[in-house]
Amino acid sequence: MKGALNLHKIIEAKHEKKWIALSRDKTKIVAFDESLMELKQKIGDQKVVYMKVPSADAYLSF
Amino acid sequence: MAWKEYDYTSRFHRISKTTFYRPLVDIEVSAESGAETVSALIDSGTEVTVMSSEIATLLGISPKGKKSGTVSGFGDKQGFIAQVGIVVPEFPKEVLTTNVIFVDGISSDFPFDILLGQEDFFRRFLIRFEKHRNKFFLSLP
Repeated sequence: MKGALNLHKIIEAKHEKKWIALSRDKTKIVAFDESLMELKQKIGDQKVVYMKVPSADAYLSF
Repeated sequence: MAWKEYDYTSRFHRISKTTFYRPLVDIEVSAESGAETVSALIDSGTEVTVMSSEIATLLGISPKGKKSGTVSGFGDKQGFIAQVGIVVPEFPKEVLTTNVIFVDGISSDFPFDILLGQEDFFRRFLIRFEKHRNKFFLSLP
């Protein structure tokens, strides 16, 4: 949708229920892992944004 | 009053083949041992800010000696309470030092990283949602 950040175009099934490290401009996934600590070790000192990807089969309600 | 504009972030729901949009904002979360940038959901239904315990681990925050806390929603989740600093990069002078509940065991069944709640985030920032065009705005009182 115009006007939104369309992350669903770069998030794939393999990323679901995992932590991803996004580039700061949100155009690509730099790395992903089940564990945030393991992901941090992959990323090192790169400037990224961490995000947990929910299952695409679930409705989210908090 | 100057408002900063943000985009809602999409996610695809496979069953309904619907794209949903959520008000996510990047925040820098800091503790004595470091700081990391994490995407956080602005959630007016959440009373206090809640974070995944994995973020506590990443920041070197140990549950040892901390008060316990319970988050209730669909079922109860146990965690611990610790103080962190939160900064929205577009408001670098506004350091929100607050107690958050780090919740365990949410990896698969409760998939969020951070919920920014009423008690701290909504007190500090003015928030305007314009869901009809997938924009939201932050400002300071």
